Amino acid sequence: MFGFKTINTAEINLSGDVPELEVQLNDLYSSMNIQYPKFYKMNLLCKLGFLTCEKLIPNDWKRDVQPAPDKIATIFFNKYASLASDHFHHKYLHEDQLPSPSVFVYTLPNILNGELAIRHGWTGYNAFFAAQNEEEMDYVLHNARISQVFDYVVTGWVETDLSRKKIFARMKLMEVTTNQSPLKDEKQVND
Amino acid sequence: MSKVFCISGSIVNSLGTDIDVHWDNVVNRKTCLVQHKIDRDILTYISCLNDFQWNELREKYGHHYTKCALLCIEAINVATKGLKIDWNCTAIVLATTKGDIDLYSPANNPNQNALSFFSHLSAQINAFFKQAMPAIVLSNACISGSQAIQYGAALLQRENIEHVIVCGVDIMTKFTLTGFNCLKALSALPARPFDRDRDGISLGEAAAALVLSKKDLPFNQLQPIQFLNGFVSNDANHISGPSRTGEGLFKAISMTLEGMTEKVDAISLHGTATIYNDDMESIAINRSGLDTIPCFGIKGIYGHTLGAAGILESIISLCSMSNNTIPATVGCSNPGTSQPINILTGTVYTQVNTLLKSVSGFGGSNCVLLFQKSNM
Amino acid sequence: MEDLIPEIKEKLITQLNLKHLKPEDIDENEMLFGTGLGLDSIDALEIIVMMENDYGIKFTNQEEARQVFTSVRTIAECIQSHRL
Repeated sequence: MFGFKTINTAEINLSGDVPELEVQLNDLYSSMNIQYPKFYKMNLLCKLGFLTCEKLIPNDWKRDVQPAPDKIATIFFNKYASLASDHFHHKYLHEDQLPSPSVFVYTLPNILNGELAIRHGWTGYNAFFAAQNEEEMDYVLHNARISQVFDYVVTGWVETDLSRKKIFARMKLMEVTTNQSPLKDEKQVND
Repeated sequence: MSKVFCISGSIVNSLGTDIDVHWDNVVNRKTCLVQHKIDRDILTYISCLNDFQWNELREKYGHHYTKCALLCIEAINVATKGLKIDWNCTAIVLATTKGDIDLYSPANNPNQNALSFFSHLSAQINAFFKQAMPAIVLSNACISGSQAIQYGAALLQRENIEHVIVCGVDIMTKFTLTGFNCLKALSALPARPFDRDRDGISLGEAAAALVLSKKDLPFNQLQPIQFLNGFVSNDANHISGPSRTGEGLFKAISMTLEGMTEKVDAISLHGTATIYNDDMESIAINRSGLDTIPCFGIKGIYGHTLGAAGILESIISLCSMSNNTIPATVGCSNPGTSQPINILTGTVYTQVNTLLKSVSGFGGSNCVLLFQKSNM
Repeated sequence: MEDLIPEIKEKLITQLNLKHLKPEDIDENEMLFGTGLGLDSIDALEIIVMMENDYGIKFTNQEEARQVFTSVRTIAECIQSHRL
């Protein structure tokens, strides 16, 4: 038996065209007093996920709990994968220009997991799922935890939806509870 | 936990769908790779279906299906042929890196809706097999296929599920070819995994489907083979470059083999034929104390099939176990990696009861799977 | 050639997304790679694309590119020599 207990949540919602979104994300980064120049190299999806995760992980939690880096999983979901970066790579091809290596390396959604692994030193389970809607997340999360043991999971929906000119991330930091007695406010499932 | 049996597998690529033909091809060291000219007169080797083969698939299933959907439907159909499958108790897990990315064009309105290639692929597969549950799509770069097997084995633990079909797919597109070319990752020759003169990858187009079952049915009617264990780790220090120390792969191998008393008889490696990937694997294998175990890689035959690779290479691994034959690494004449490992350059006929499969990918992901004959 | 140096610095900052840097933060004589700038292999590939797109200089082998990309000054020298 195991369940998931939410420790913290964080959210970012922005809207606009790509250049506007870039400015908004860069401004948000500057306002958060983070020293991480690699941020500027990321694509929209990673910038969005990176900043949401910065808000999600409380400093005192890291200090107090000292979670083992290999027991923190990152599992993300979205519908449009890395479409924003795909668009730019395609644009080079369409205009018969040389493609950009730094654009192409971001044309995979799981690069977000990689960026967070680099930032936080996490070495555990990581996955990116393309799902139809947010209702599927709990089911998948449960299956993933059966496939491999982890103690904490950073999870959520991270979307760069260019068709609606909006980007949003809703993340949760959750602890895996293995208490035998059912928790009051958390769904418990059979292992 | 219920045991997980690999009961059937199929591969669809330029060579066709007959698994015996595929295995013969591997044993006889024939490559599917042919020379191809991409943009700006750059030559590389690839494996992809020809127009005739695509038309055959379209005639068979319908012209409205996308290329990825056609390959997946064919792979799943072939893999489930002759099996008693209750589709109401069967879940499908898909694995792909780019799906039908060739359908996207910035010439169309770039803000058009319905650009979710992954959902669209999953919807087509569901419609064809009349499934209520949408197929989830795993997209974790080159480990997608292997991780789908690990995930599928967990899904099979659910009471209402009898079979899980994991299907990996990626097609040959200008998008991917030009992308790997701009990373200077493509070889001008057929990929030479673990060879001292290797200089890059060859890309391949394929779908591969593996049927997982709770029942101990034999794999392709030969002998029951169990999926025992799998582990996913991350050692990203750079988003596209492999770890120099093989830390994550080492960790994944150790965790997968934890508690194992039997020895591993063979290892199917990732072997992309880039200098750094193959060196990294040699370091991890050596560090795990597996440097004498026979190792092979098949990307000199199939090319790098990206999202399909983990499943395709697992299926060839299962054939290797069934036939007690460890194939040679096609393309490798003179093994040369930074750490010595036992890369086979000739076919070896020996008992293969336990086999380890490893893959690593962009984003720092590593995935290791362990298969074992169930009469062990 | 001296006029090329500020131009290259500006281009590097834009192309490599080094938004935290100003042109004066980059010393044209210092090593570009393996130092404080934190450039990696993707940046090197990106400079190859920049050299071809903006200056029509193609690199056929990576070793040649590696030598040219030692510093901003060596890049400027390479561009200058192609103009002659």
